[in-house]
Formats: sequence, C-alpha cells, structure tokens
Amino acid sequence: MNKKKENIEEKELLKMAPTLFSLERINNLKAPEGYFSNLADSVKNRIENETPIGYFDSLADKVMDKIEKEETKVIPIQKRNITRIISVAASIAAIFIIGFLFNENNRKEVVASNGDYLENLTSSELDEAMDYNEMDELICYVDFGEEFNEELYIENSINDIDLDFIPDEIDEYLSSDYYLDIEF
Amino acid sequence: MQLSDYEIVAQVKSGKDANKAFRELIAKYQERLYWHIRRMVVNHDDTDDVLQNVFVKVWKGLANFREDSNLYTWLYRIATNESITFINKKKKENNIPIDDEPYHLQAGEADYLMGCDEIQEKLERALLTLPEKQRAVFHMKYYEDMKYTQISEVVGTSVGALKASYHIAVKKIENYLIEN
Repeated sequence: MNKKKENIEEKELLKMAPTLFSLERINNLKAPEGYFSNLADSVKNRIENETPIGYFDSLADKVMDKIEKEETKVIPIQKRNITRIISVAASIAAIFIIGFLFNENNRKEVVASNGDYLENLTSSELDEAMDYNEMDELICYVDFGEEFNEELYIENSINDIDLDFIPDEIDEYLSSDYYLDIEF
Repeated sequence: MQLSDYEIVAQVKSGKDANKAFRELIAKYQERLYWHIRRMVVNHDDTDDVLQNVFVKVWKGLANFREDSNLYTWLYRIATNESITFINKKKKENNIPIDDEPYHLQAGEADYLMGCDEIQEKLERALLTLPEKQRAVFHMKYYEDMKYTQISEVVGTSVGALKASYHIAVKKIENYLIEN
C-alpha cells in the first residue's frame, strides 16, 4: 500500500518536474568538520549555563518587589530631608527677619525718643538704671545723646575733684611714704 | 546497541542514566535536525545556535513529553518553530518585513553552497528562492522522504494544504532549473 503511494508520488513528480526528478537526491551541503562530534558537549554546557527554569517568569515580580522596597526605604527619607531642610531654612529666615525688625524698631525708638527717654522713666526705672551706669556717664550720655564724649567726661571729673584740703591733711599726706612709690 | 526513541524517553523521564540517554538522542537526531534547520536558516553559526536551543528545549520538555505523538515529529516541530522564530527575529532586527524576501540574502550563501557541484548548486539556489517554511516542507518531503501526515504534525498544517504547498515548490524549482 505504502509502496503504491510512493509510486504515485514519484509518478506525480516525474510528470510535474522531470528535471528535478532526474537529479540525485543527495545532500551535498557540508557542515564544518568535527561539528557533530562536539555538539553533545556544547548542548550540555548550554544546559548547565542556562538560567534556572521559571527564572524569567518570576524575574519581573522580584524586580518590582525590590523597587517597592527601595521606594519605601529611600523616597520618604528624601522627602523628609527636603521638608527638614525647608523648615530649618524657614526657621533661620524667620529668626533673621524677626531679629532685624526687632532691632530696627528698638533703634528707631531709641533715636526717636532719645531726649525724652530719661524724662519718661519712672523712679524705680531710674534707680535700676543707676545701678548699671555711673552718674557721670549717664549725664554725658543725656547731654550728648548717643555719643559718649570721653574728653568732657575727664574734664568734668577733674572739675569735680574737691581741692579744699585742710592743711593738716596735706601735711599728713606729705609725711607718709605713699608718694615715694609714685614713679615720674 | 542503539536505544529506541521509546527507551530514550523512558530513561530520561526516569532520571536513571538520563544524561547518557539524552546524549544518545542528540547523536541520533543531530544531523537530520541540523540540515532541516540549515535549509531554513542557511548560515552555519545561526544553525548551530538554533540547534543547540532546540536540544535545550527538548531536554527541558522531555519530562512532560506525551507519547501520543512521535518523538521524531516532536523534534522536527521544535526545530521548525525555533528556526522560524529565529528568522523572524533577525528580519525584525534588520527591518525586513517578515513575509518579504528570504532571510538568507542577508545571511550570505557562499559558505552554504561550498562543496556543491554545478547541478547541485543550481538546485540549492532554486531552493533558496522559496520562502523558509515552504523550503522546510520541500526538504522534509524531497530529502527526508517524510509522509505528508508526519509533515502535517510538524508544521501544523492540513495534509491538503501541505500537498498544494509542496507542488507549488516543485513547480518553482523546476522552472528555475529550466531557466538557469
């Protein structure tokens, strides 16, 4: 039966393509020498170096898991850092602005009410101020505003020295050794 | 003594002497599969790459191989599919439309035809004018003398469509041989 079929096919081929039918059915193509003797080893190596079965099926999930973990670790910290930096910068800026405005107001207040400052002080405030300032300094300050005049301060100090000595006091002073220590 | 296909499959599945049995499978089918692939892919290095992939797939799939189909046709089916996938990939890489000219024009054919006499070279050149799948069908029928039912299992086409495809291929080759 099979042989009969083969004969029919052969007859068909002869009828359809006599030139082709007349050719010998030999494969004259060549593979590199020794290729087939090494193929089994090459295949074995390839199998051994193959990625594990199902590796790529789960690779996408693994990568996504890793990305998600990295995101939960890194991104909030970055955001938090940015927020921190912004809040610190804002705080510093606020401190500078408030400080500047405060100083500016104080300066204006002092300049504006310089003359009236002592007049407006209550007696207790005046007493408190006396504790921190020498009276002469205070007088100079009041007389000349903010600028402290040192020369005038010295002159006033000299003028204020009491020169009305009693002769006995002068004798006592000169008889003492105190002046001997004075170097000229 | 050479193992039968059934024995090879049974040994690989059992795991006992699986490597030895698989080596026997390679030795038994390597040449036939090589020429089947090379008729489509043409270039030897590409053929080697595809053939090794085929055996790797066979090794992986042999445990699940259902013996309701023939090992022989199963191997040819894997080889055909791998070759076509490879050719389509190469065509895509080289911006050649998949249904357009055969891939071998880019692959080079000088090495392929080396060792052929004048008449054989003519026949091989005639074969190279066929689309890859038609070339594979012609190779299985003309050189391998496979039955249409077996080829049908390999390429997944009806016997009628295969006969028509083979007849068209034969006519084209005959015309080429007469014209050249």
